Amino acid sequence: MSKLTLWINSHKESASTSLAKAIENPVSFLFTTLLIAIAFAIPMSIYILFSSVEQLTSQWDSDRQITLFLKEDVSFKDAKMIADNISQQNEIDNIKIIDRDEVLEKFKQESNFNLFPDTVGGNPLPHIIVIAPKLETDIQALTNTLKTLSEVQHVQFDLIWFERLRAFAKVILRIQWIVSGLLIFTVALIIINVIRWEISSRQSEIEIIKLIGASDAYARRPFMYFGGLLGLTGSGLAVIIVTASAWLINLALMDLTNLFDSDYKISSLPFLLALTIIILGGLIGIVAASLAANQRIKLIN
Amino acid sequence: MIRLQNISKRFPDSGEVLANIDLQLDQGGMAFLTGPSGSGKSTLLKIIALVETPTRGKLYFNERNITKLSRNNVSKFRSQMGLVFQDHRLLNDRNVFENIALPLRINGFSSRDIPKRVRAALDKVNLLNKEKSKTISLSGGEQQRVGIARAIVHRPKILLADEPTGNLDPELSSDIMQLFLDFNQVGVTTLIASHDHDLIERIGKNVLHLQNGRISH
Repeated sequence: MSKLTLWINSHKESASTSLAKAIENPVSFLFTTLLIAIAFAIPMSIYILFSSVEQLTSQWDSDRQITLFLKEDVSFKDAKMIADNISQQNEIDNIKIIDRDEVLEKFKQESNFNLFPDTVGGNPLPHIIVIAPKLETDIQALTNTLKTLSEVQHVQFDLIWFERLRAFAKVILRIQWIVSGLLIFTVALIIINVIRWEISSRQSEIEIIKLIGASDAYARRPFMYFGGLLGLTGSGLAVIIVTASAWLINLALMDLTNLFDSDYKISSLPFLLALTIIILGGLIGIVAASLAANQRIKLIN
Repeated sequence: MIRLQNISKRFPDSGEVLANIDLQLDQGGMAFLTGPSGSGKSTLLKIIALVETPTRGKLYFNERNITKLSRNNVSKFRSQMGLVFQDHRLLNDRNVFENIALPLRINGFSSRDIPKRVRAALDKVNLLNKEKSKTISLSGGEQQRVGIARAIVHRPKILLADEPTGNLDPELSSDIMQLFLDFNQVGVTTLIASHDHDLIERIGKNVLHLQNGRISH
């Protein structure tokens, strides 16, 4: 028999032993798996929340614009100068001036009422500058600067709350990383704890197999597989829980978005990410279990 | 094959159990270790199996010093031995088949070969009908025979047995001794601790008598 066949045979046996262990004690296996699944599902839910907010803000990006209403006594020439200044000093995608005379002309053509200029006398409308800032621009700061200009009557940025949402999404992203880190650590601790307990309840068994020639690696292997199995099933279950939750929320959201004439949906878990999480779960399980088993089995002589 | 040189063993609470033991077991040889209980027979076997480390002295296997082997090498060495323990040391939550299959699994035999070999070993100790029983439901004598089957199933080079016939009736005892003799016939180096003097005398092999931690031939 070649060394490789020996090795494969022995791994096959360890894998089936650990599977048998899970089936032998389904309730405790299920409890541990659920615990791991919840730990995985929390950062995944935050991820979905984040990408849903992100998706919502990017949908509205095209509408990002600042409107400056100039004072009535500012001429078109002055308005043009102000616009030039603004575009030189700030990060701006596009800037245009809406001439009050053109607006009035259009207004006259489109409305049947020709009363306006006669009653008011002259053009009551101000010149308007519309600014489309670059994506990375800090809208809040820009708006504040524009407000200080003496020619400006009023600055309007309706989507300011949207900027806040975007900032909020950034916070969520940060939270997500921290929570992910903590919960991966939690999963590792859960698995380490389970394996430690498993080993101490099988101490005499390990003693016996060591006595008849099992290496530390051989004694450790079923526990490693068991840890991997726990991680794999836990993360798999988490993917199912999160996907099902997103589906349920979307189902409820449909009634709401219909009212707003939108087809907005919260994001679902991308397939590749789900796969990565499941593999990650298995790996965390194997690593955590071998850490625990290594340390415990060395103590057994 | 196995040589003990000036081996002593001292336990903190029971003092010196073995003192300056010199012993040689040739390849294919067979010997019995006798002596009153507490004379250190089990300790001596455990030292040879690298379960206990001697306080002083050296242990050689094929002229290689194996007194201080790494954990991994201890496992490798032990996996080529057959050990029969006085207290059987069986896995009580598994059946007879699984217990006997253990050395085969440790040595990486394929799951196709395992049943054949396990049944051959079971046949030798006359327990073929107990394959599926849990070891805990067996009598002391049956458990002992499972332990013997486990020790021989992987055809070890060395067989160490601690009181292998302790729980068996005379007829079964002589059957088991015959089994050890058969093994020795095909070249397995064998050392058996026993105080069944009648049986040992009838077999007429080399006898090492342990008393007060020393060997007299």
